[in-house]
Amino acid sequence: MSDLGEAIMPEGTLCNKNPIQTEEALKTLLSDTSGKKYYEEMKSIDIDSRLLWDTIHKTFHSRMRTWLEICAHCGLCADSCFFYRIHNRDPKQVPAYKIQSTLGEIIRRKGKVDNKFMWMAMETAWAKCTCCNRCGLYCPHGIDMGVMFSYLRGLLYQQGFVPWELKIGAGMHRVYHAQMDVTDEDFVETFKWMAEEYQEDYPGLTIPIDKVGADIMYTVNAREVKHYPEALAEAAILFHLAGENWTIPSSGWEQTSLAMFAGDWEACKMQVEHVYAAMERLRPKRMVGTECGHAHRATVVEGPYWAGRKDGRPPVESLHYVEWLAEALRTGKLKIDPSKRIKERTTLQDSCNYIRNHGLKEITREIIGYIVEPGYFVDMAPNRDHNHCCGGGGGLNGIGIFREQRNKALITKRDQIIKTGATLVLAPCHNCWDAIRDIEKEYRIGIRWSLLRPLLIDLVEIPEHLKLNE
Amino acid sequence: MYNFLTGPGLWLSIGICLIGLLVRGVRYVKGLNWQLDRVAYTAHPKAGIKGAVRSIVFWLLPFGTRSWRAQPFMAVLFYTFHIGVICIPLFLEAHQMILQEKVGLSFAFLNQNLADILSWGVIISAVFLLLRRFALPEVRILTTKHDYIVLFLSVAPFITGLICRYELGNYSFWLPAHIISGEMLLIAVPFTKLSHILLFFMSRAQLGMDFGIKRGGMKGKGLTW
Amino acid sequence: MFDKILFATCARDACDAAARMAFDIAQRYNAHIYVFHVFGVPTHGYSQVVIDLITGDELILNENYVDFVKEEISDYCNQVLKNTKDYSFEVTIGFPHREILRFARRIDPDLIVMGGSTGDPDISFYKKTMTGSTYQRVARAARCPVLVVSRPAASFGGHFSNVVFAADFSIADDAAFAFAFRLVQEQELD
Repeated sequence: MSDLGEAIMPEGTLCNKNPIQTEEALKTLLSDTSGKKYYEEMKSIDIDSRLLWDTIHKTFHSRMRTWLEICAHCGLCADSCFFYRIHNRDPKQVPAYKIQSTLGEIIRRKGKVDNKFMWMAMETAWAKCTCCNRCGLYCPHGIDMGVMFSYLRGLLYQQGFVPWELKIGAGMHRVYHAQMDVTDEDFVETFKWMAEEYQEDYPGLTIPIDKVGADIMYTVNAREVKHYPEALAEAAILFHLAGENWTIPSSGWEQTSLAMFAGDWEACKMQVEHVYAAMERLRPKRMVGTECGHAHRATVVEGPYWAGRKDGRPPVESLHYVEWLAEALRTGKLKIDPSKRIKERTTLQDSCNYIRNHGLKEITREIIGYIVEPGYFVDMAPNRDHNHCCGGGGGLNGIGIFREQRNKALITKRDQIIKTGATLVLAPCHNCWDAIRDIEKEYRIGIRWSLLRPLLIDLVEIPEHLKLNE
Repeated sequence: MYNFLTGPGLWLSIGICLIGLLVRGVRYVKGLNWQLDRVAYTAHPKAGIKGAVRSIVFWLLPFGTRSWRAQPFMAVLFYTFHIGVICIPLFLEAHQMILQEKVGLSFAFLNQNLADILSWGVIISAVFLLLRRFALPEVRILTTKHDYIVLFLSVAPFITGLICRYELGNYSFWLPAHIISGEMLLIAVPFTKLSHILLFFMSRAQLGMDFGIKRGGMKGKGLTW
Repeated sequence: MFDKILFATCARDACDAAARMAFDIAQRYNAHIYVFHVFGVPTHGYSQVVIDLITGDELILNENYVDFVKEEISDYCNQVLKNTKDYSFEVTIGFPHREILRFARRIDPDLIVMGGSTGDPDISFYKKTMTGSTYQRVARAARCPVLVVSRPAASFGGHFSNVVFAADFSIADDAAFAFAFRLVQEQELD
């Protein structure tokens, strides 16, 4: 207590309510390996109940309030949640219980909660829910607990209770406008490098930068620049072969948003506005994003609302990569040699962020129709809108302290894959791709896995006028 | 006593029920916020309405959604209970007579056998719904006192009603008991989860609009409920 | 002939022969040698976890660890450094072939020297999604000659005496022949 008798709210040097805003702060937090000191400090930070209740007062309105009040406690959501299933139907994993015992409790106690409670809420929000929104499809009242968990994450982030990697991730977006320390120069240079490397095989391959009025503006996942530059090359090659009038923005090229996983709404807004600014600067006809689920959800689906856009749309019509790919195959811009089609038992992951949450279920299957030999494709059960999360969504793939929970969470997807008997799993999403790779690593079920793009490179026919002149 | 119950008592309880529901409905709509909810409600009216209607209709149809089909026994209990609970108060001959007497209009009423079946259906399904709360761990962990009270309030008029119908015991006790339990139920509606009578539709419509406008409704067939 | 040499090392026995040759060449031609080592592949999504390519352990990337790796490389090179003074170290994480090529693009070396395959099954899991070995992928895309040394050359003293030019009459042959010719000419070889 201070002299005035007010309770002093201790804040840690690493763990506190301040977002990471500078490179220095980022480096400092990064140097705390695995967040050891960060989590140690988290054990003693205080909750600003007034701020919490004030925020709730401003942002928690009839939709969510009614959801929490109207819940009939019927338990129909239980079986819909893969966490519930893999944890031996542990009642504590029932979605309604999870949200009522966290957000519900905070509301009931009017924000007067303690440190221990917030730890429990943090673990529930990040290790017992990936915000896949599947429960919302199974509740008779239409209560979407995934949406409420996302909201809860925002409250927790504001109070400083966020996993170390996501505090860093949100900080990365604030400092670099990208999920990793990748600058605009890195982005442009890497793209140019890829063009140089592949120019021999694809003569005429160029990277148009900052072209105004192009048909397509392409945005990526920063990790492609840092670790998977082939993905950039493949995208360029496919646009090139399809004869697209495309461009990359030298700034505003990052489509992902770890800030969304972290619940840092301010950073979410900053991130998408940065991309929208590029759209407004270059005025393309459309924006096409890379093969990533949450990037699409953040920038195209939820982003417009963070940016205050009343029609809920980005400034420019925006497509997920699979939509562009399906269109290119449909219109003949990209042609597949039918004899080269995949002849191995193949299945498809339905990424929650653009399948359940953006209706593209038939688009991915249309692509499969072109690239997989008939008779070789087996759908998972359940599939489409009702498919399960890969196990690593909502940022769970990257959170160290919840790694054990994440590895267990892979079991549902593992069993689904095994049941299909497939040896190739198509996963048009970076997060799902990671999760499925980890399924193979942990459980050795004998599968290959791939994004769609690398497969297309091998299958697609090169138009005459773009062929190598021997 | 009887006159009070069927006079001012009736008006009061129905009035509270309807006005209360109206107030809740209005407050619900006023509390929606396109930016906080992240749904552009008014920007895409056609998609919004389509989403809302699909969301409600599929869930009203017995076994109309994957969720109902995945839990067939619960679905049967649910529909048996709700069909009885909606049809009896509205279409029982005795209730229609009162309506005729008070307001001067009446509509069709149920044949007595059907009314009996529906009423027993309510009670039997209520018993199972109650058992469910004890027997299933995933329901037990969620269940609170409120759930038991609401279930009791909903079933009491049917129990007392059937007692009256079969003329068991002292009619001049059980009839007022029935009327009181019915009026208590009506009064409780706006203040408890029974408000789902209206809010079910609003909540479903809201989610339907969410999926219809933002989450893929404009990309093809729409969500498969 | 060679001003800058990029020696891409895996910092294990498999690269010993290559290390010796790289430093010998550097000394012979007074070239600056860049000792480049990729010590881990990223994993765990967007986090800082990497898989150490030597031990196979998962570890968190931070400045201390990078310094530790640099020291290890320095110690390793001490055995072969001898009189070489013109060298520098660079360590990084990523997929080896990718990072070698990225670094090569930055420094524009005249020669890349690499060791033979390590062939570790566990680590190579992370390469499972890509076809071809590190050497193949580097050789395919490098803008300069790539020298692979899988076993020690008994009589190599830092200079070449004979050159065998194997032709398959592809386009790449032109560049290869030009290099071979230059080498023969400058060194007055057979």
